[in-house]
Amino acid sequence: MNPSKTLRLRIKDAPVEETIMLRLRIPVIFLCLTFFSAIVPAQENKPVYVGFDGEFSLLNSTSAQSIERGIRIALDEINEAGGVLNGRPMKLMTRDNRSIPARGRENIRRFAEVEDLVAVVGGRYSPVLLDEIDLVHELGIVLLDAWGSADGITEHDYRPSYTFRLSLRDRYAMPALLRHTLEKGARRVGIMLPNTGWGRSNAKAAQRYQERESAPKILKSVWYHWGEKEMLRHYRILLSAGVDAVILVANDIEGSRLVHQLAAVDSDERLPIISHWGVTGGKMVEKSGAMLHKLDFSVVQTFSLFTADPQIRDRVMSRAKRLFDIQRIEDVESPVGFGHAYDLMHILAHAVNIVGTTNRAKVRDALEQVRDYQGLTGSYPLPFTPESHDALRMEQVFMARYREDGVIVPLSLERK
Amino acid sequence: MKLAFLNTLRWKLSQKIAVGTGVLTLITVFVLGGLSYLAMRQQMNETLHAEINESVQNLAQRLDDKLAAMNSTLSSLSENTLVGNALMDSIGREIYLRSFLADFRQINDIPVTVAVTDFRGIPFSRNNERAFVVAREWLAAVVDSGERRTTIVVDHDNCYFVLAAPVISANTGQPEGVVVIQFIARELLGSPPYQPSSYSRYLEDVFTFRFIETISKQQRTKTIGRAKPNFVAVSAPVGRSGIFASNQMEILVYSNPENIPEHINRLLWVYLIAGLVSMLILIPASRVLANSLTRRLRLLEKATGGISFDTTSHNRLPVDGYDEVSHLSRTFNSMLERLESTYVAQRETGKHLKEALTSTEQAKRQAEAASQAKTEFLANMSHELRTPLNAILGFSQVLEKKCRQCPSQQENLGIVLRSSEHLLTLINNVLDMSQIEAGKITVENEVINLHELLQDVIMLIRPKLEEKGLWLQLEQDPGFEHYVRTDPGKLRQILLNLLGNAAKYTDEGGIIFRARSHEIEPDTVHLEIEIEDTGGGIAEQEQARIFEKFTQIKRNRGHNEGTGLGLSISKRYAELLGGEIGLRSELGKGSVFSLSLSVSRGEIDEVAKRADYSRVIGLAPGQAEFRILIVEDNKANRLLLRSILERIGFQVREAADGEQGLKVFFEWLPQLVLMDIRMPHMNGYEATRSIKASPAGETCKVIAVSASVFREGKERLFAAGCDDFLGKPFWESDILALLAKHLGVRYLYEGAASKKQVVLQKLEPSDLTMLSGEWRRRFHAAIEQGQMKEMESLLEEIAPHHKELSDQLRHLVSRYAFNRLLELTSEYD
Repeated sequence: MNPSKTLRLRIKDAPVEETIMLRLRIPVIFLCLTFFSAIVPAQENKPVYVGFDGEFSLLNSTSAQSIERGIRIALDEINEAGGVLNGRPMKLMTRDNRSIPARGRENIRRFAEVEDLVAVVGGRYSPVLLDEIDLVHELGIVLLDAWGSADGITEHDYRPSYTFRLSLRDRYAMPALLRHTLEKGARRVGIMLPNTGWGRSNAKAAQRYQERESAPKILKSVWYHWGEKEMLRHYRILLSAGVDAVILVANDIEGSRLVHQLAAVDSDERLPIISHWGVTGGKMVEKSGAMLHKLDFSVVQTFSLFTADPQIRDRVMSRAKRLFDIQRIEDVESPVGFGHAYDLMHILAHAVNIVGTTNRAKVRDALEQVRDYQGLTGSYPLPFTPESHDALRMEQVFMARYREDGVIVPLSLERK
Repeated sequence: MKLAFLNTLRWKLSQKIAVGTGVLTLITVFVLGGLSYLAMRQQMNETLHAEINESVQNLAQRLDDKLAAMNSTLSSLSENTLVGNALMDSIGREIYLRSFLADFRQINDIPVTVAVTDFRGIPFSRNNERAFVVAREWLAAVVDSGERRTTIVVDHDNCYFVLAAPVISANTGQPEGVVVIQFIARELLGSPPYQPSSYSRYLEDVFTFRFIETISKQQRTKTIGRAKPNFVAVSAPVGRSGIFASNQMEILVYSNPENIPEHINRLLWVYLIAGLVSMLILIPASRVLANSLTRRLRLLEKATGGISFDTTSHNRLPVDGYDEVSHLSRTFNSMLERLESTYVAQRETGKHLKEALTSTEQAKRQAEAASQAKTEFLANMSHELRTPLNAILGFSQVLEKKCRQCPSQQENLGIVLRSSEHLLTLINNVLDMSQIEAGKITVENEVINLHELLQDVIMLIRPKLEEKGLWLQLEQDPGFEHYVRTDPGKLRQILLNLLGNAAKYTDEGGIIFRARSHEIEPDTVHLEIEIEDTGGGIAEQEQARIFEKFTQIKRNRGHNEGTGLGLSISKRYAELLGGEIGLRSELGKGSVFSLSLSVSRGEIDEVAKRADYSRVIGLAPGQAEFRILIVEDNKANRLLLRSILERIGFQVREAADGEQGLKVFFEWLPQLVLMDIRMPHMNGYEATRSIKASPAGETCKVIAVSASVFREGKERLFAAGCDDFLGKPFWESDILALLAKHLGVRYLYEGAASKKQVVLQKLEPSDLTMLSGEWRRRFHAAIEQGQMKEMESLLEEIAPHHKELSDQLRHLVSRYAFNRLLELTSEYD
């Protein structure tokens, strides 16, 4: 079969592939198709689709791109190894939600219309994911959370649950952040929260952790609106409340804005900032400016290529180099999304193969049956169970900081 | 313009004038009415348009203000971080956004629906449950455009404004939702939509918005209210700034074209009715006017027609007024006069020729001498008879005035007066007869009160009847004409004669005096007066002779009084008046004398106006003294004149003949001389000539007093320089009238004395002669130079001596009648 003819057919068949995206990825797809067309019999290579609803066009955001790379590298490996369901390639469809829940929901609807689309990967924004929960259960489509950390994403009353997460959750993050404040010697803590489901999820987690005796005292919580321009105003409220450290629950836009605005504050008023990981989803370092390094700024992480299994890391990095021209591990932006997405794709492929069909309900069931997955971010003997759709464990959570060159490095490595 | 067709109509002139005036009035009213109707309508429309325009501009301004308020609310909402946050926070927003939006129930008192939608236009939060009238696609298009948009939507009979502003996501910088404000357009207009004014009621409660729908880029029109009327009154741009600029929105309002003329159409009715009413009034009014004009024309026509039949008739036209018809009448009269005199002269000549042919020269000379003698005799006779009679009459009058408090004597005096008058009449009869013979009698023609005349006659005859124990019954028809035009003296004479005869020849029973009249033409009445007695009657063979002069028939016991001229004169007089006297009589059964006479009708205000000098009781105050000289040889008459004049208040001196009169004149310089003509030593003619020849006599008036009644004498008097003539016997009022006429004397009248005389008489230049020439010159100069103060002081100067004159002049000055004042003073400059 003439490969170019196949390409034309594929493009035609791809029902909702965004044209711009497609054009950008033509070389990649071309390569894949050439490869598949060479090894898979033509009647058997009907692709199995996976969707990604990401915040692509968000300003300065790197999370969606990072997740997509993780997915593509995983799919590349899977397809190279013969695909799923006896040689059917797995293929990615992406849609941009611009971090807007309404767009996310719209994207889910569109994905649901695609035949042989087995699951949708969700992006960084918890509000988007939270808003999609009703819909995915209504439509019966699996939602794989590669970043969003709001507890509600997996903690809900839908049974069977269609939401699976391999990522941090606030229930783990907030204790880690609070514990870290103790390490900083701070006993009185202020917390800055966005007025969203993510913010409320963290507030709840913090409240829950307050019940412990060893927990630092949360003197004050301040809530800011999405897109808040005056982050310093909220910081000052905490400052005047007399806190010793600030826990920042924010994404990169608000986070970098706060750091940038802290330049106007006297150095003795610059408190240690212990940040949730939303800030790592974008160009935090570039937007924060020099101020970032003058601060005691630490951020919670779940995964670092620096501490990953070297064997798997090298395998992935060689493919990243090939596919995306990423030379070093330091060059991987938003590494948590990258790692989580990569592992989720492999778990999904296992599940599809287990159930032997693209039936979404059955794929969902199969996801709870995947065993002993050795992934980039860790080893998961039972990634998902009917009781728990959270693959990541609390022990995997650690604190990191931005190195001078902007690379996120675990604090444990720094100390060495 | 030729109105020849009017001449072809068989209408009277008055009808033509009346109808013509009516038609012209109607046309004028309609043309003027129509023009002013059109002008009013035009004006009304212009005013209306301007008013409506202003109303609409006001409306548009209010809309602008309200829309601007909406717009700013919309802006602040779309930029509000809470709204932006809500885009991200689908769970939390359920609580806070709902309560936030709930605060926007009303904007500027306009109930609004405020909602926030996602990028597909699906609302996720709103302040009420009212349905959205715009399609989701439109809202999604607003999100896509990233710009604020406005549209107007009609939904279920309501017209809505929808304003939408995209909500920009802070994190993407892209529009991710939209804030929508929706409200009913009617609320925006307010209630009432226009400022109440007298013109706003012409505006319909219908509005159309015309705008460009910026999403579809199409022109749209949306109408509020019932079916769209046809007439667009005016449009005004709305929302000229802000987000509406690209909409190029306009509001169109409508007025009801039927309502406007209704107002003015009432005017049309007013004109129509005014036209018809003025026509209805003018046609009869001009008919009356035209009648009054053509009446005289008819008379003219009648008179002209009469010439050919009776050249000697006295059909002179009444000349009253100064218009063309009067001139024509005057000319006609003078023409008639000439015609008549020519005719008489011809006849006279013919007669003389005949006489010359038929009589000898001797006979002619004798006749001439006899005629001369007769004339002389009559002249003397009249003088000799009238002079003593004058004294009787005159002193009776003086007595009557003096004894006003004793009515019984007054009655007696009245009888003396009337009897004297009758005596005078008898004398006059003889003279009259001779004048009739000589063809020298003239007929007066004036309007008289017939009723009064009858009463007078009865009053005169009553003493005689009472004396004989006869009764008199007046049977006056109720419709008996009141005022007629005739010769009162002759009519009175006729009736007195007839009644006198009846009384004379009746010994028992009485007299029935019948009077009736009937109209024979519009202005002519026929009088029928009968005097029936219960006397012996007249034999048939005597009846024809009875009217001959100097004939007295033997009746009953044979009366032998009178001249035998009475009936003859009466008959002649009746004929002169255009009537006749008839007689029905049977011996032993009484007689009926009847006077039938056609006279023209008169009006009460035509009754000859004679100043009522009988009521004079003295001189009006404020006049210079009047000096009057009486020159009279008869002592009784001199005394009579003196007593009359002194009673009134004149300064009087007397002289017994012409010589003495001149002496007194130059000594005393009177303003007026009463001059007897027949006097010893120097007669009145000579004395008058001397007075008038002197410088002092230039301003002096001379009035001749004479018993001579012949016209020749009068002419001689005027030739001698007399200014006027007083016939003997004279009445007191005659003298007073002459003095008023020549000296401008003003009198006080009985009954008016108590009242202050405030009536200002018309001043004549001669009235100022009593003031010095120097004063008049100064006053004239002051008027010319308009020096009011000077005028005032001059008037003050004369006030003590000439109060009334001063007051009259002051009155003129106060009214600035300077022309009149100059006129009064200039003649003597």
